[in-house]
Amino acid sequence: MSLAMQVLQSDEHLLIIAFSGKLDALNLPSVETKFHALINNQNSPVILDFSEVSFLASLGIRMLLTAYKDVARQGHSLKIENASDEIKKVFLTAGLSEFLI
Amino acid sequence: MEIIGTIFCGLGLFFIGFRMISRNLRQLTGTRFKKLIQKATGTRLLSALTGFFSGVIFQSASAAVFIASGFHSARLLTLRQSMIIINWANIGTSMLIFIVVLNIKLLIFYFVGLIGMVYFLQLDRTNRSQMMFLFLQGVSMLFLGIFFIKTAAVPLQSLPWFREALQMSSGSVLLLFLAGGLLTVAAQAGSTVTVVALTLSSVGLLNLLQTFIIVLGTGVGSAFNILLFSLKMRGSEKQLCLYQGLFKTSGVITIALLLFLDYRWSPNHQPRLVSMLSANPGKQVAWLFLIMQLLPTFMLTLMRKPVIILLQRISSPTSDEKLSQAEFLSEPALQDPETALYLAWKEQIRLLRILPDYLVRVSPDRDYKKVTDLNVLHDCFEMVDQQITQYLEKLVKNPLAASLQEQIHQTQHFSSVLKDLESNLFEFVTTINTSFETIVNLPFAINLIESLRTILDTAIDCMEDQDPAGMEMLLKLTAEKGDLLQRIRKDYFQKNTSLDLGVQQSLFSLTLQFDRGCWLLRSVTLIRQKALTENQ
Repeated sequence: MSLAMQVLQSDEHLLIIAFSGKLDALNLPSVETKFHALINNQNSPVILDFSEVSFLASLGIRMLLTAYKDVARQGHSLKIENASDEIKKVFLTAGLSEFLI
Repeated sequence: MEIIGTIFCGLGLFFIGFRMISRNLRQLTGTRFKKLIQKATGTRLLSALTGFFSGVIFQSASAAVFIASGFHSARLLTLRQSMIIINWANIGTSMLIFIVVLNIKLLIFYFVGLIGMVYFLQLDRTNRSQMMFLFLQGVSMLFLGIFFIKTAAVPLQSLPWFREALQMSSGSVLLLFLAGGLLTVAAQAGSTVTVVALTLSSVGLLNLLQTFIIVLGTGVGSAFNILLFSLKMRGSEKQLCLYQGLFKTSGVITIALLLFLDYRWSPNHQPRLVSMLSANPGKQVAWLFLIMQLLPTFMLTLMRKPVIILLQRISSPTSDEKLSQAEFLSEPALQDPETALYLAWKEQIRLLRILPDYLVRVSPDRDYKKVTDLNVLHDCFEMVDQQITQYLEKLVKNPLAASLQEQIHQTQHFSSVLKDLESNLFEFVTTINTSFETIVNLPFAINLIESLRTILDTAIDCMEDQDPAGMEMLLKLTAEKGDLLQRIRKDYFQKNTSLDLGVQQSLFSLTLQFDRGCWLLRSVTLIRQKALTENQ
């Protein structure tokens, strides 16, 4: 299963990006650059919709953490919504739920 | 038949003696020789002497090549030092030939008699004396073998069929050359084949030119032998085998060219170059063999730099070799403790960077990433860790200010926790690899693997950036989570009731190892955070 990224909303108030597929080493390079460009060009809170994400590997979490730090530096927040229970468990186990969920 | 039988017996004694000398001397001097080579890193003279005596003792430069290769790949010897050892080991092998040329018939008889008396009087009681007498017995058998061949071969030359066969083969340079090469491949030492050829020549069975051609063949045989061995080697180890191959080949080519020109321009087609050194044909062969070792030593020493570049280009160090060697630890930097401490810290971060690779092997990403063998990673980590420990021990011996002394202790503490973290990670991956049933694809295991990778990656970023905010975040990621993990594990077991007991046990162990891994990562973060705060 490949990985797709879609911008659902992008204005001065909010950036909402929806991911679908697997965020793993194979698929990540196809969206990583574009994702970071979107985050860095935006000066607003960010919401990532994970309702269609089936798997999250450590490289994917690393990408999310970098984005989290960039957004936090601008004084905003980055949150993940609609993640599956399995993905929530990964965030919990890694101690990241406090930051990302 | 009696003559052939006696020659055959002589050859047998010669090879048995040769084997006994090599085997027993190796045992007698093996450890000492290795220690000597290790010490021969300082001066060129010591390197040359070590090489020379190894050649004399083992009667084969291969032993020196293989030992020096091992030290070179472990970076105990540089390529240049190893090359000196090999050059002189080759020269050392020619000494046997000079000894054989001497007329020591009576000496051999007394020697054999003396060895026999030792056995009769049972003087070889200890292990070491047994090895020593076996070595001496080997020497006596080797010389006795040569004596048998010489004695039996004298009447051989008067037999008409043998003279005809010799005349027929004397015209075939290629045949003699191949015979020298093939015998060297079989005997594993060119000097021994040269001695046999020399013995046959001394009783008139081979003329001087034929003997010279056989000696040239031994050079090619030796080169072939070592290159054959090098096929199994990689990286730095292979470089010295290639050097030995180059040494032997260049020796043969140069001598062949010189002999060709010498014979060509000589008025009566007699060798003039070696005859200037000795009138005795046997000694001429010994000189030829020695020159065949001296010339490449001279040429390759002159062309040392391009040769080193060539060898490094042909067989560059493997990724494992690079991984197992410290990149930043510099001996001269020990003079400046602050720089040395910084370099030790850089090396520790390099070690930390290796750790996520342990988890790639068991992660879902394993199909897309290059995976290094777990045991190789473990060995490399241990080798670099040892180098850091030794480096810090040297550093702490310097007279230092109290604050710097404290920083070194903190770095040593960091090293010790890092080592525990590595052991824990090694166990974590081993648990997955050796579990009763495969657990690598179970969601619970994947969750632990990916979470640990994330925390490790975050730790590496924080340590490299030395970012206080990042460290605070890392402390939260590594906060105590034993209860949480037990809850997730129990929940998983309840939802998957068909799980085998062995699998449940493996997942339980994995949870504990994960928890300990987080705790150790928290410890390294706290040590580093403390060091940063105190330095500010």
